Amino acid sequence: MKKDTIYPSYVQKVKQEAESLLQILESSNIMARLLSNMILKGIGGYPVANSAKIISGSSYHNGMKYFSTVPNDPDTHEDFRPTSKLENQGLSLKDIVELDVKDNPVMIYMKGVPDFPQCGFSSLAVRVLRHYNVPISARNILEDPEIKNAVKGFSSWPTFPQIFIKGEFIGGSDIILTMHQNGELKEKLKDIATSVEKSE
Amino acid sequence: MVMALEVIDTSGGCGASFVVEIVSEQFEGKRLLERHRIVNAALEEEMKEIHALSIRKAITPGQWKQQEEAEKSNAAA
Repeated sequence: MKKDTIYPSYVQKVKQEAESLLQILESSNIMARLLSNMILKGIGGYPVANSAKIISGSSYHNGMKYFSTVPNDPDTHEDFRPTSKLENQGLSLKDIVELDVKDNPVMIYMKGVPDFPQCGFSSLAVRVLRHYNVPISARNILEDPEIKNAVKGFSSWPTFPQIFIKGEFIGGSDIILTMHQNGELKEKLKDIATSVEKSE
Repeated sequence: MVMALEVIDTSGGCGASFVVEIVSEQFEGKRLLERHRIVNAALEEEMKEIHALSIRKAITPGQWKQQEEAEKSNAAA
């Protein structure tokens, strides 16, 4: 089977390690089999969820933009906060996410920051986006569990990174990589790259 | 219906990280995002336990055939 080469080297290493282990542990690979079963079972009559989509006329700033919001109650460890608090603040957090994706043509919610990603998938997504010379805005969801949950709810997407382009939810690192490889991403980012050149 | 499915454990055995490749006619006429949503939904419960799931391929039987043929001709060349 052909292997993708853009995965970060440590993922590649882990993959190789896993694959050689797999040969030895073939019979005990229970979780993978369980996953296979769940996929086979699950891809039956699943109604496709409506994807959140926001149309925006966007103005933006050149270069990188990072956000860092301080959780409202910094003295309380997140595990001990009443869960209802999240619900009470649901609206304003959702507003923050809506503004993020509206004001920033390329918005990424990631683990870590673009210059120091703290997860291989976030790192991969940033590297792909940087090919295109577009301003990237980012929020570190590790710093802000409430934003993390708000983004998950907004996009109905379970994992990070999450990438939004011109207000439209694009997907995670697998999708951005595939779109990079098949040329769709270039198409999507075309006018962003040009308008930056014009304003410079 | 799923025509081909490959799940690779990339965690080294601890069951926290997987790469998935799926071929299904249900992906027909759907964007990549929607295809991933279908897989995510099928794995909703499991996703809570899994640290990393990479859906490397979510393609239709037609795309699969094309890829197989492309690989064959690459190998022949």
